[in-house]
Amino acid sequence: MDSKGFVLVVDDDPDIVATSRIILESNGYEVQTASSGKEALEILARVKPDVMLLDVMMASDTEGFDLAFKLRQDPEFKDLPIIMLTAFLDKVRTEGPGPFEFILGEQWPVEWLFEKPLDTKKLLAKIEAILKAKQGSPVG
Amino acid sequence: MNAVEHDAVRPNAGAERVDLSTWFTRLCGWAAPGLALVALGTQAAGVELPLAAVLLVAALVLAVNAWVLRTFRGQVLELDRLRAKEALFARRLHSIFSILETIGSVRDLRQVLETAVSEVALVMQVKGASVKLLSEDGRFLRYAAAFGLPESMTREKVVEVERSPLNRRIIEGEPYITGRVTEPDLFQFGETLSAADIQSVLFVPLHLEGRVIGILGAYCQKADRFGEEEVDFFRLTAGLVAIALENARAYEAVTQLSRERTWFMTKVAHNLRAPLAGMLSILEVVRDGYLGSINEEQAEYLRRLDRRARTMLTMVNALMTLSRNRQLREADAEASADPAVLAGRVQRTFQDRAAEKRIAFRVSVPPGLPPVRGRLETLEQVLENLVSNAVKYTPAEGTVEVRFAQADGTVRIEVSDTGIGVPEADRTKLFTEFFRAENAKAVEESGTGLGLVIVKEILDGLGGRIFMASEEKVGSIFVVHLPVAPATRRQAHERDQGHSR
Repeated sequence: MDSKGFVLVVDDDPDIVATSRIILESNGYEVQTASSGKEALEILARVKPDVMLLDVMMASDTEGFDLAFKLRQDPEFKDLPIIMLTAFLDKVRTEGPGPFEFILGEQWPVEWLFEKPLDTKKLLAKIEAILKAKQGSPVG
Repeated sequence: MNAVEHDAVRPNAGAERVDLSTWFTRLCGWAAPGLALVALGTQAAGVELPLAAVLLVAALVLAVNAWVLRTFRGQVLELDRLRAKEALFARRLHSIFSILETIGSVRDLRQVLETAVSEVALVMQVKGASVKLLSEDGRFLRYAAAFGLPESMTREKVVEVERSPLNRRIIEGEPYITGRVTEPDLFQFGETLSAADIQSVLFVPLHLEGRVIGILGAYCQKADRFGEEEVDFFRLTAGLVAIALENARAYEAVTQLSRERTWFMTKVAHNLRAPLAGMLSILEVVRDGYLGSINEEQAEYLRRLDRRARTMLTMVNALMTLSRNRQLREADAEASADPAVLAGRVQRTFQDRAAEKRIAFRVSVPPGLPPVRGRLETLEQVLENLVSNAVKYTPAEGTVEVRFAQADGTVRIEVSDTGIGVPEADRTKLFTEFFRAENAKAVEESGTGLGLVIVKEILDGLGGRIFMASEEKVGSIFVVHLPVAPATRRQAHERDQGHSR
C-alpha cells in the first residue's frame, strides 16, 4: 500500500494529535507526530516529511513560530510546506500583542494558517493540493 | 537656536536711546549759549541787525529745546523702560502658552522631557536647561534630559543626594541661584560649569502634589543673569513641566496596564478555545465513522454535543471581541476600508450558506464609493453579524439582500430579510447582552445574544449608526451608516492598497 505522502503533525494537544492521525491515516497518509518543537526537530533529523502541520502555541507562546523560523533558515527545510494551526486566528492575524507582533509584518514563515477547530475537508484538500504542486515542480 | 537670538529683547535698546538724547541735550545745551555769544559778538562788531536777530532767535529756540529735553528726559526714559517690560511680559506669556501646548500634546515621556528642556531654554533665553529626576527612594538624582549642555556633563551622571548639600537644599524646597559659578559652595560642579562656559545657574525643585520629583535647571553664559523676578517665572515654568511629566508617566502606566490586560485576555481565549477545538475534533472523528459505524441515536446525540460545543466557541469569540480594549478600538478608528472589498467578502462568506437554505441572497454595491472609517476585519464583523442573523432567521425560499449606497458623509448599508421579524416588545432589548427574542429561540436553539451588542459597540467606536425596522413574520431591515474616512486617511489607505493579505 503506497501512502499518498508523509505528514508530520506537531501539536502539544494529545486530542488533536490523536484525531489528526486517525483522519490522515484513514485518508491514506503516513503520519508521525511530535508534541513539542524539540521532538519535531529530532524527527526531522532522521526523516523529511512532505508536509508539516504545526501548532502555534505549545509549551511556550511562540514555540510554533520559533520552530518555523528556524526551519526556514535551514537550507534542507526551507521549502518544507508548513501548515500552521491555531485556536487563535483573529488575534494572530489582526492584533498580536507581545510575541505575535512580528507576525503582522511580512515575515510570515509559512503560507497557510488554519484555525482550530479544523475544517477537515478543507485541510485534506489543502494537503492534497500542496503535494500535487510538489510533484509538479522539479525537486531541488 | 537662532530663535533665541531673534526673540531676544535687547535690554540695551532703551539705553541707546538714552545715550542719543543725552548727547542731543548736551549739544543743545552748548549750542544755545554759543550761538547767543556769536549773536552778541556780531552786534558788537557792527554786523547788520537782522542777521544778529536771526541768530539770537535761533539761540533762543535751541535753549528752549535743551530745557524741554532735560525736563522730560526722565519721563521718556521711564516710558522706554515700561515698553521694554511690557514686551518682555508679553513674550513670556506667549512662551508659557507655547510650553503648555507643546508639552500638553506630547504623551511619550521621553519626548516630554526633551521638549521641556528645549522650551525652557527658549523661554528663559538661556544657553542650557536640564531636568534631573529623583529616584523612587529619593536617594539618587539623575539627568533625565538636558539641552545646550555638553554631553560629558550630563550623560549617565547620577548624584547621590546624601553627598550633595547643594542638591539636598534644592530638594528641600529652596531654589538655588548663583551669578558666578566659581563660588565655593558649588565645589567641583562649579568647575564643570565653568568649563562648559556657564557662569550663572538657577535651580528650582519640581513639585507635584506636595512631593519633589526632581530639579529643573537653567544655565546661562552671562554672569549674574538671574534676578528675583526670573526665579518666580522659572518656578511657574517648573510647575508646568512637573505636570507634563506626571501626565506622561500616567499615560505610560495606563498603556502598560492596557497591554497586560490584552495579553491576559488573549491567553484566556486560547485556554478556552483549545479544549473546545479538541472536543470538536474528537466528535468529528467519532461521528464520521472513523472509529466504527454508529447508530442513529448515537449520531443524534453526538450532533447535539457538537452544537453545544460550537455555541460555546462562538460565545468565547464574542466575549473576546467585546473585551477588546479601548486602545485597539481607537487604533481601528484610524484605519480605513474599501466598501467594495467589504461587499465582496460578505458575498463570499454567505452565498453557500444561503444557497443551502434556498434563500435568495444578493449583495449590491455601486462603483465609486469612498473608503469608510474602520478596519476591514472589524467592519466585516459588523456585517457578518447582521447577515448571519438575517440568514438564520429567514425560512427557505426567502430573501436576504445587502445594499450599499452613498449617503451624506456616510456609506449606507442596508441588510434586509423576509424572515421572522422582531416582535415589538423585544425591539428595545435587541441590543442588550445575551438577549434573544422568543421567536428567534424557537427557530434556532443556539445563539449567543451578543451579535448585535458587538455591532453596536463597533459602530459606537467608529462614529457610525444603526437603525432597524421590522414586522413580525414579514421581515426586518437593519440600516448601518459608516462614516466616510477623512481625506488624509484616504491617501494612506490608497497607499496601503498595494498589499492586502
